[in-house]
Amino acid sequence: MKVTALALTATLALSAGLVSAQQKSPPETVSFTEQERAAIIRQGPWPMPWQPDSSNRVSGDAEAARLGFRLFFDDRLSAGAVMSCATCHRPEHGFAENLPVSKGRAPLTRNAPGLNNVRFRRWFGHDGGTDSLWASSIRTFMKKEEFAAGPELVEDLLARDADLSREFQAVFGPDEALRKGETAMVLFAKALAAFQETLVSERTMFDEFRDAIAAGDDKAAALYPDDAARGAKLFFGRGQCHLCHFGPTFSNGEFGDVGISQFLPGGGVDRGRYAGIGMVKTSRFNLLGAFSDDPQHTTAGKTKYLELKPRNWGEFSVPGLRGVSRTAPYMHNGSLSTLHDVVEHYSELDTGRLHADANRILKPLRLTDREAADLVAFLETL
Amino acid sequence: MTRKLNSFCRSARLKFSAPALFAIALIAGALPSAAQDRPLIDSHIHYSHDAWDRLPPPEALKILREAGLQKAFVSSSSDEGTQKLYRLAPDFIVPVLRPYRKRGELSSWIYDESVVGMLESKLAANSYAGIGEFHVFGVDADFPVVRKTVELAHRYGIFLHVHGDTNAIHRLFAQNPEARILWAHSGFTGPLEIRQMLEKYDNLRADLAFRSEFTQSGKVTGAWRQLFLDYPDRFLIGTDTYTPERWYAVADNAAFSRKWLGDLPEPVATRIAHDNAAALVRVAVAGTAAGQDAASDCRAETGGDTLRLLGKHHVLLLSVPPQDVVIGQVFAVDLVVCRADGAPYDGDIAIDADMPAHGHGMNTAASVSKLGPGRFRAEGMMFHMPGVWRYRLHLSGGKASEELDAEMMVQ
Repeated sequence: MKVTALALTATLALSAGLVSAQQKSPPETVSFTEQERAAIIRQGPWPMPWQPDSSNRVSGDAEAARLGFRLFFDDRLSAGAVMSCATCHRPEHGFAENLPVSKGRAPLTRNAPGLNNVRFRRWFGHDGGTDSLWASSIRTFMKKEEFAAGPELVEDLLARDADLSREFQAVFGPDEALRKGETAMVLFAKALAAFQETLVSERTMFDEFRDAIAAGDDKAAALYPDDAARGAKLFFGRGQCHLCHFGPTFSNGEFGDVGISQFLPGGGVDRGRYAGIGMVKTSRFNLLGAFSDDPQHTTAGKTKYLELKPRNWGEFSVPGLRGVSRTAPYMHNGSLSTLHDVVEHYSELDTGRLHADANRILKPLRLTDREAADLVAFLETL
Repeated sequence: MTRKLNSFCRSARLKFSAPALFAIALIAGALPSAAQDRPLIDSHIHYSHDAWDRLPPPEALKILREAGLQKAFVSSSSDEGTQKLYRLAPDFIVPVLRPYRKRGELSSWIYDESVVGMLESKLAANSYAGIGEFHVFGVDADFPVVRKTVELAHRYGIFLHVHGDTNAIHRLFAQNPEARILWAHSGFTGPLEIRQMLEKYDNLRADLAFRSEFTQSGKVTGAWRQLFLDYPDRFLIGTDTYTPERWYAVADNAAFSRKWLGDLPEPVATRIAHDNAAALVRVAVAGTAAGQDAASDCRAETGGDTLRLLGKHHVLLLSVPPQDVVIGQVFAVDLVVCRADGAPYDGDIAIDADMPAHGHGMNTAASVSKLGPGRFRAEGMMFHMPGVWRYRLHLSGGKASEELDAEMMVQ
C-alpha cells in the first residue's frame, strides 16, 4: 500500500461527508510489518489441505456423505420427530442459527455454531466435549434436550424404512449386525460426519489479499478494500486477534475465556471447557474408545494427553472466522447480536473479570469508531 | 552426537545367557488367549525409497499394526525410510541400519569404502538395534568393508542382520566370536545345516522370512519341528518387504505365522512369535543409546535440533525435530541429562511449557518415560498458539534438584 499525495487526501477528506458508502474510500497508508505479513500468510492457503478422519471408516466417502445429507434434514432422527440437525444448523445462516440460543426440545443455553469448515476442527462443540465429528453428532442425538434418542430409534428407523435401509447398506455393507444397537447409531453419526465434512467455505476477498502478500505482489494486494486492510492491520497487529484466531480457519482450535458471562438464564453457570474436558476424557465414544475405526488411535494423542486445569473454567471454543458475517448472533451464548458488538466487546473489555494469571493477551483495545468499523470491514471479507 | 561405549556396558552384553532370556521372555509376553491374538514381532521389514510414495509412512505403519504386530525390525535403502517410520512410532519400529543407500547396492556395497563413513555417521546420529540386512557370501565376508561393519556392530553392541551362506557366517564369527548375528532366511538352507550352525554359535539367531517348507497345512513336522523344539530361543519370524508390493504380504505372513505357530507347544510358539525378537531388541538397546553413559552426549557438539541447557548441577539436552513442532499438533521431545560432577544422573525429570508473555501453559500434560540412565522421552506436548514458548524442566536429582528453562519461537 503506497502513500498518496497529501493534497489529494486533504481534498477528499473535506468532501468525506458527501462520499457514498459504495464509493471506494480514499487510498490510505496501510503498511504491514514483516511480522504482520508473516501472520497474514499463515492464515492460508485456502482451501487448506485435509486428511480424512481415520477414526471414521466412511470419512471422505461420497456415498456416505449423501446418506449423511439425507439424515441431516430428517426429523425422524429425534424422538417424536420434532427436529432435525437442520433445525438449528440452518444452511442459509452458514449452518448456524439466527437465534441467540437454540430452542431444541427444551430451552438450550448455547448458540448453535456454524458448521462450515467443521472438518478442520480439533474439538467439537463450544466446550469441546467431543473429539470427533461423529461423536459430536452422537452427543446431539442422545442429549435429552435435543434429539433425546438412542440406538433403538436408529434400529427402528432402519427396520421400517426400506429405502433408507438400502442406502445404509450400500454405504456400510449388508451385515445385519451393523443395523443393530449402538453400532447402527454410531454408523449414522459417521455418515452425518461424512456429510458435514463436505461443508467447506469458498475462497474470499481475504484469500486473494493473502495470496498477493505471499507472492509479494503489492499491486494485487492493493485491490483489497482500504478499510479491510486497516482492519487487518489491527487484527494482526495491535489487536493480536490472530494469536487465537490462528491459521487458515482463523482458529487455533482451542479455548479461551474472553469475558463473556457464564451465568445461565435459569441459574447456575456454564463451566464451558472445564466440563468439556471431563466429558471428552470419559466418553465411551472418544477417539481412544472402541467405536473409533482407527485401532492405532493415531489422532487420539490430543485426548490422551489432555489435562484439566483451573483456567479451563468458563473457557469456550475459539470459533473459526470464515464466513463469520453470516452466523450472527455471536459468542457461546449468542449474547452479542452483531459483529460490531463483538468488536465493541473486545474494545472495552473488562479485564477485571478475567483470571489475572491465566490471561495476559487480552487487553481492552480502546478502538475509535473508525477503527471498530475497519475491524468489522475486515471480518466481512473473510 | 557421538556415542562411546564404556567398558562396563561392553562386557555386560557379550553373550546371550539363557536365564536372562527366560526372564525377559516372562516380562515381555503373557500367553495369548487365542492364536488370532498372538503378539508377533516381524524381524524382517524394509521400507526402501520406492515404497515411500506409494505407501506414505502413516499407511505403512497402519499395515504393520493392522497385521497385529507388536514391533517391526525395519532396515531400508536408504536409511531415511527407516527414520521416517521411526519418527512416527519410536516404540513400535526397531531401527536397523542398512549399508545400502538405494536398491541395487546389495552386491556392490562390499567394494564401496564410503559405506563405512556412512555407517559411522548414522550410528553416531541415531539409535539402532542392528546393522543389516546386508548380503554377503563366502570369502567376500572378509572384505575390509565387511570387517569394518562387524567392528562397528561390536563397538555399538548391536547385532548383524546377515543374508549369507554358512561360509560367510563362519567367517564373520571368526572375525569376532562375540558378534551377534541374525541369520536372514536362515541362510536358505535346510534344518540339518541350521542345526549345526546353531549348535556351533550361541550368538546366532535365525529368521524365517520367506520360508515355508517347515510347515504343511498348518502342521510342523519332522526335522523342522525337532529343530524348533530343541532351539526355541533362536528363531524369529519375518516377512521381507523387498519390493513395495511385498508390504501387502505383511498381514498374510502374520496370519500364516500364527497358523503354524499354533501347532507348536505354546511356550515355544510364544518365543518364536515374539519373545526372541524382544530379547534381541532389549539386549541391543541396552548396548547402545539407552544404556550408554549419557555424559558423552552432554559433552558432544549439539546440532540444530538440540538445545543445550546449562544448570548449576546439570547439563540437559533437549531434542525435537523442528518439523514436529507444529501449532496444534501433539509432539514428543527427547531429553538427556548429565550431572555437572560427572556422576550418572539417577533422578527423574518433569517437563511442562508455557508462554511467558501470555501467562498460560499448554492444554496437555506431557508424559515422561525413562529410556535409560539420564535418558527420557516426553510425549504429549502441544503448543496451541504462535509466539515464544518456554520449556520448563524440573530435575529431581536428590539434593541437587534444579529447574531449567529454554525458550523457543513457534511460528
